[in-house]
Amino acid sequence: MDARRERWRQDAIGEIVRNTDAVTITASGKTTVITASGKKLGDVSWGGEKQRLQSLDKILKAWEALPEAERKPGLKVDYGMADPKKPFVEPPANALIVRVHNRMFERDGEGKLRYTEPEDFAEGEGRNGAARLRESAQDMMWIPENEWQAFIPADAKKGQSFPAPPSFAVRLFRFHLDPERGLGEGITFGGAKADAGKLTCTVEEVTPAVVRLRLEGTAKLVQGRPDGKQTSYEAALLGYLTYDGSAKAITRFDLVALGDVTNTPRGVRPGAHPLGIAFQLVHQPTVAERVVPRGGRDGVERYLHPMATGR
Amino acid sequence: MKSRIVPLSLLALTLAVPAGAAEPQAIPPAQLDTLQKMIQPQAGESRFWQIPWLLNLDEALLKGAAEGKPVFLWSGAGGSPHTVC
Repeated sequence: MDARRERWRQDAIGEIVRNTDAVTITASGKTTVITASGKKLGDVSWGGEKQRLQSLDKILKAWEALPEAERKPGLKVDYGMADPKKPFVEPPANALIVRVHNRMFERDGEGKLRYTEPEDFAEGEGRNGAARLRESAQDMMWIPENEWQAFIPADAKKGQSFPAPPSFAVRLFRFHLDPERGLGEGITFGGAKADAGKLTCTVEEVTPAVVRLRLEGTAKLVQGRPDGKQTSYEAALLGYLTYDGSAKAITRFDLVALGDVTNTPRGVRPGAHPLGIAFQLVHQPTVAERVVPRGGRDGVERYLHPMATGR
Repeated sequence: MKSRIVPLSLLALTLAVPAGAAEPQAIPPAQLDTLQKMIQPQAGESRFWQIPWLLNLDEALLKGAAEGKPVFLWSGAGGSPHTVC
């Protein structure tokens, strides 16, 4: 959940959150267990497996020590009206919800991609976190209805080519081709503009039922850092999008970016290394898959409308 | 066994590329699926996504009250956590 929303909301639940110190607005995040009646049972330790289990055991004992009336199903609670100034953010109606996975790779002696090993990382944060950093990092992407509709030409013809919707391209460059996902809360290329890359759609198939597009291009993203170095990501992109005319819906959106990152954020890897980013449409999102994309946390309108000014 | 806590919050690829920071090479269409699968979580990874997280604290507290369960909160600095970091 969004710690800033819960921490600053001016209502009964905000009071519970503040009284139990249930969230932190620092970058690290927090795990805590509370009761519906507003009591804190304890923080869940991130110190390691043993500490985590010990903290959970203490939490369970604290729960079992509560009066039966507080633990039985059907507890009556009334939190009153939620603070209207801190609304819960949900995806826009009919937006596409896309899962995004970022994964660092290395190349073997033949130049083929392989998964990372501890020795691929710099000493310190990188080497210590090698097992976690070997995994893919995750994010979500929201594509508003008017934007995905703009991918589909009114009178599509096989072989027809045209640029991808500019707002899509800028959102992609600015918020999703980001080597920092999985490393921290920062946004590396938040100032990227439309000229950071080129994305072209080509109509591959048109039938009475579907329009199928190929999406391909390149991006070159560069950002200076306080230490005087630059972080860059130069990637090729390829993907496919299928529009079902009878359902008036996108039924496939797959996209992959692959290229080299130089000077990975936080210094976890020296030099240049490959980074792959995969996008895939979620057909029936779970509650958790409706989470606000990282790029939208600091202002969802700026994320959804990256070409707009004055927001 | 029923859960005792209400959760909240939420190959080797044959694509050969030259060593060192290089101009990105076009991704061959035939390798898109393989590359996508290689990037996505592998078996045993990102297991926190298997938990049926809720995103709305209001709903989680009401569910905890209704079911007689404590509420496990996972919060991120500026939004719900997505990932391991």
